[in-house]
Amino acid sequence: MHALRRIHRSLRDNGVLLDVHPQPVNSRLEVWQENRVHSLGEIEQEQDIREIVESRACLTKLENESVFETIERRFFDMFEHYPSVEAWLERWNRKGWVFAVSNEVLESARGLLTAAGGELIVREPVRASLLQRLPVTGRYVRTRAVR
Amino acid sequence: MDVSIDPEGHEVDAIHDLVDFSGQDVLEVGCGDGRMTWRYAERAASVLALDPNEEAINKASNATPRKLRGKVVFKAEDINEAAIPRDGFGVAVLSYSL
Repeated sequence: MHALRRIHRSLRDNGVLLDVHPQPVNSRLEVWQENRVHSLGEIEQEQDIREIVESRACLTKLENESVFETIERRFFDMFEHYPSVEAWLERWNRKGWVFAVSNEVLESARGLLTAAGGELIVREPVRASLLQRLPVTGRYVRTRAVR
Repeated sequence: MDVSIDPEGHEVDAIHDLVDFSGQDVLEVGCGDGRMTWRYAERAASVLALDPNEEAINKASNATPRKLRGKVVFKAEDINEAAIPRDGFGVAVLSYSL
């Protein structure tokens, strides 16, 4: 919340905030081969989802306080392409991301890639929001004129 | 075959559809290794990109193309503590952070 208020202060009067975050749902693992898509299952990302929900709640609170106002949104899927299951696990572990996936899904992916090649795909739904910075409205204080 | 993130360009299409970065002074919060920064920096007038992860910032700084040097500044700082100018930016980018 403090960070968002600092961002607000750093923006000029007509400034905008572009917020790009995954939707609060699990990403999916797929294998793409030629013209075929094999949807294998979900990657459990409980911690990420909780943080995204909290982050959105902060933005909503600031919108309710007339600090920012959403102007437009776009929704899209981000695709991460990997040559193997190991390449995916290596990158996500190196990043320190917390996730879990069933052995059944991993074995399905390995089996498909070994049998007929292709790519391992992580499909992540994303929301991009454009928010307008709203001016700070000072509280009106009525004072009595003093002569 | 290499690892490839969003080769379809869905993210870059969405952000440029929403924001005209041309000539803007941009503050990016949680820039990590600069993956998002490279998607708009060329159009911006200036970019201050922050992330508390020093290793990621070093990677981003080292990867800065020659033509963007002097325009893009990466700093290993937390937005909550960084010295950032008041009313200094036309666009703030918050990407996969907070």
